[in-house]
Amino acid sequence: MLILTRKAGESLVLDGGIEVKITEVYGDKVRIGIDAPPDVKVYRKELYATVQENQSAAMTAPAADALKDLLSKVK
Amino acid sequence: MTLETRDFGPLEIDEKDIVTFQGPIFGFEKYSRFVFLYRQEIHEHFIWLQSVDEPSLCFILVQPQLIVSEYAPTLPPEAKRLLGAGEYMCWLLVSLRQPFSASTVNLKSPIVVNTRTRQAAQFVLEEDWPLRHPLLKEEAAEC
Repeated sequence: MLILTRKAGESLVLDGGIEVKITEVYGDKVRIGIDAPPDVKVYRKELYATVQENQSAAMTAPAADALKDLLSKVK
Repeated sequence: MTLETRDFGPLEIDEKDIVTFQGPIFGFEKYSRFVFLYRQEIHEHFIWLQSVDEPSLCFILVQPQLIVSEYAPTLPPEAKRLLGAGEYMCWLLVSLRQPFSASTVNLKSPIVVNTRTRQAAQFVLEEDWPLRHPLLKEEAAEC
């Protein structure tokens, strides 16, 4: 993992036009500002696992008849 | 109004049945209006959460008690602010997989609906519930 030291007010730029700015450091917390193109979604990591799970839940289901057969196993 | 659905073709729905997400289904922030479709003939404990604005977007949900009888999630404090006072109902997102016995339900991030106001949200629980819990109980998965 690349590790860099930055001060409040300083930034990093990622390829693809994403800027990550340290806006404030207080106690054990850091406030971060992110400037990114609108199609780049930003999530807290603990949320990202849920995003991926939701995407797999949104996949197409089998047709009603087949699904009825499958779901009959869920009791 | 007529609603184009992913799994059941065009359906007539009542606009007052629309459920509005006050907190997003994570990853699907653009979509906030859904309807619950009940299909008793397929399974009485599953429902379909169909987007009103995108016909191809639909989730299958299951009643938690069918999967884990002791499921009792502690909702985060913002639940009340987002959903208002009333009676809440909890649903779990189902991920159907190949083979079917590999299908899972998400106990970590339930969909919660205020049955009075029809406002909903998805919450990621602080508690240690799994993101992927088997849909089938062991003995059913074997047959």
